[in-house]
Formats: sequence, C-alpha cells, structure tokens
Amino acid sequence: MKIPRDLTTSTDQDVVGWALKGHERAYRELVRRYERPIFSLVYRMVRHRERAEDLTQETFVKALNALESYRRDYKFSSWIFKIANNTAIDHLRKKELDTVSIDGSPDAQNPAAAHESALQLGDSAESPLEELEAHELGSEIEKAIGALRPEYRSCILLRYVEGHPYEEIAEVLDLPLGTVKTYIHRARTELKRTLDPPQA
Amino acid sequence: MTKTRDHRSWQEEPDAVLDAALSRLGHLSPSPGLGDAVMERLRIEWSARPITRRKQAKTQPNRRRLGWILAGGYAASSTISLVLLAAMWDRAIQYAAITEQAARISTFIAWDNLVLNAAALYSAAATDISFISQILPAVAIGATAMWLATMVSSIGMYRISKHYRVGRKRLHAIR
Repeated sequence: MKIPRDLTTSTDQDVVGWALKGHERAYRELVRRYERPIFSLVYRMVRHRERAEDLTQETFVKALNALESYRRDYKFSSWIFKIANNTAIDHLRKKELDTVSIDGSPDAQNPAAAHESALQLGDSAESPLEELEAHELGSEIEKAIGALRPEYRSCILLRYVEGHPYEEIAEVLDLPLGTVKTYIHRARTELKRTLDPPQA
Repeated sequence: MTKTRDHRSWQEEPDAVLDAALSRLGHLSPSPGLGDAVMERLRIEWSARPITRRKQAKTQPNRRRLGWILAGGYAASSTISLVLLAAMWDRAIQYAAITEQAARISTFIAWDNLVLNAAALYSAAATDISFISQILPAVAIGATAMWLATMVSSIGMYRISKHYRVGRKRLHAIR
C-alpha cells in the first residue's frame, strides 16, 4: 500500500507499518502524535523540564529503535507509554540513589561534623526555567500529584490526563487490574486530603 | 468508594473538588524542535553502528542475491569435495608416502579450495602416485571442519539478514 500524503488521518498501526518500511515521514508522524502526551507524563513524573525533555527524547529513541518488536495487536499508545513510564521510573530510582542530604552526612559523629558535610546552597533566586516550572506545575493539584508515590502518580496521570481505562493502565504499568484500582483509590484519597485537609 | 470483588462494578467515588481539579490537567508542551532532536539522535545512533561489507551488500537486493548464490555455490562445492574425498579414501590409503605430493596437497589446502583439493587428490591417486598416509586424516578432518563452518555461517547469515535489513532501511529513510 502506498503511503498517503497526509498521515494525520491514518491509524497508529498503519503509521508504524510505514515506518517499518523505511518512510521517514511515518517516524516524524509518530513523534508528532505522541510528543506532548509523553512529555506531559514524564515531566509530571520527574518535575524538571530539561530532564523531562531529555527523557522524552530517550523514550522516542528507544521506541523507534525497537519498533520491529512492537506487536500490532497491542495498542501503540500503551506500548509507548510503557516505555516512557519505565524510563521515568528508572530515572527516579537512579536519582534516589544519587541523592545527598543537604543536612549533612548521616554518618557524621557530632553536630559540627554534620554542619561541615552539609551542602552549601547558593543563590536561591529562581532561574527563568524554574519560574516556568513553578508556573506549569505550581497549582495545588500539580503539587499534590508531585507528592504522590511514583506508582500512584503514573496511575493518576494515565487515568485523568490520558483518560486510559483501568485495563489499559494495568497493561502499561504491568500491574494486575486490582492493584491499579487500589492505587487509584489510595491516590485519590491522598489527593483529597492534600486539597481539602480535614479541619482541626 | 465502592469496592467489590467484581471489577466491572467498581466505581470511583465522585468528589467535586478533586474531580474538577483533575479535569483541568492537560498536556504540557515541550520546547519546539523536540521532534527534530529525536530524528537527529536516531540518525547519529544508526549511522554509528558498525556495518561490515557483507552486511552492506545485504541491503542491496541484487548484491544480496549474488552473495547468496556465491554462498550456496561454495556450500555445494564443499559438499561435493567432501563426497569425492570420501569416495577416494579407500583407494588413496593404499599408496605409499611421497613427500613431493604432500607438499602439493598442502599448497592446495592453503588455497582454501576444497574442489581443487579433492580433484588433485583424486587425479594423483588415479595416476598411481602415492600419498603420505598420515596426511589423509588431516585433509579429511580439515575438509569436514570447513564444510561445517560453511553451513553454520550460511545459517548465521540468514538469521541476521532480516533484522539487519530493517535497520538499514530505516537509516536510509532518515538520511
């Protein structure tokens, strides 16, 4: 079948088929279709714009490199979201390992040693990028989502930003359906508590 | 929240404040040029992969076909030479050692052409020229090993060709 001039009306499966046949336009179309959804998920997961852009690129490079391993009976969106989520989670895990306490080394023997090993922070003024991040992720709900555990965050984002049904979320996250429902339930409870704290 | 054992009847308990906040969440935009950056990274990655001459030939159908004909011919000639060698074995073993012939056989082995080896051995045997009996086992083992190697490499070439063609095609696409 010949590749149409306008790919915007073609299905994901067809576009993948043309990409596998070596049509550059098909690759570009896949990137165009998914750059915003993937970036949104990754950005809200890592909460750092530049890093999110790097991870979004990494997601596309991984996915387009492995395109022949994609099974056509699977939804393309689920497949690429799975890669994006795994990329973001891997990054968060790695970051967790690299984290240094700003309060000083946990091995410090006394307060003076702890003070010496504490990180000295520089100018606290926000850079333009940080201002943009504060604007984009600064609302109450964004902050509340940012405070969730990464697994809960993925579930909430896939459910309410992407509008995926539970079954698809379970596929993307490789979790049993019951676990996805539990995560969403717990995440909603936490979000409610953050947005509307109980009055003392 | 209602949670039952039946997943289909499971429903989220509505919460006006939370649902309104969640419904306001939308997609965020990356910096312009992300698509170009992705294509550029792919271009660099795919062009950095080492490509052997044999693999390069596989990307062009005519050269690929020629490669297969040559590989097939070589495999067939190796097989024939092995059969010839086996056929003349009984006869050749009867002859005594002649160092000159041994040298000639060694030269032929070095040329890596099993058909010539077999032909030379056979003609030498037919013209009543003797052989060094110790050489024959080595020749037989060498021929068998080469035949096996040819078969294994032919299978290997077949297995890698499909994956490789897809990769090259994509590289051409983004060039």
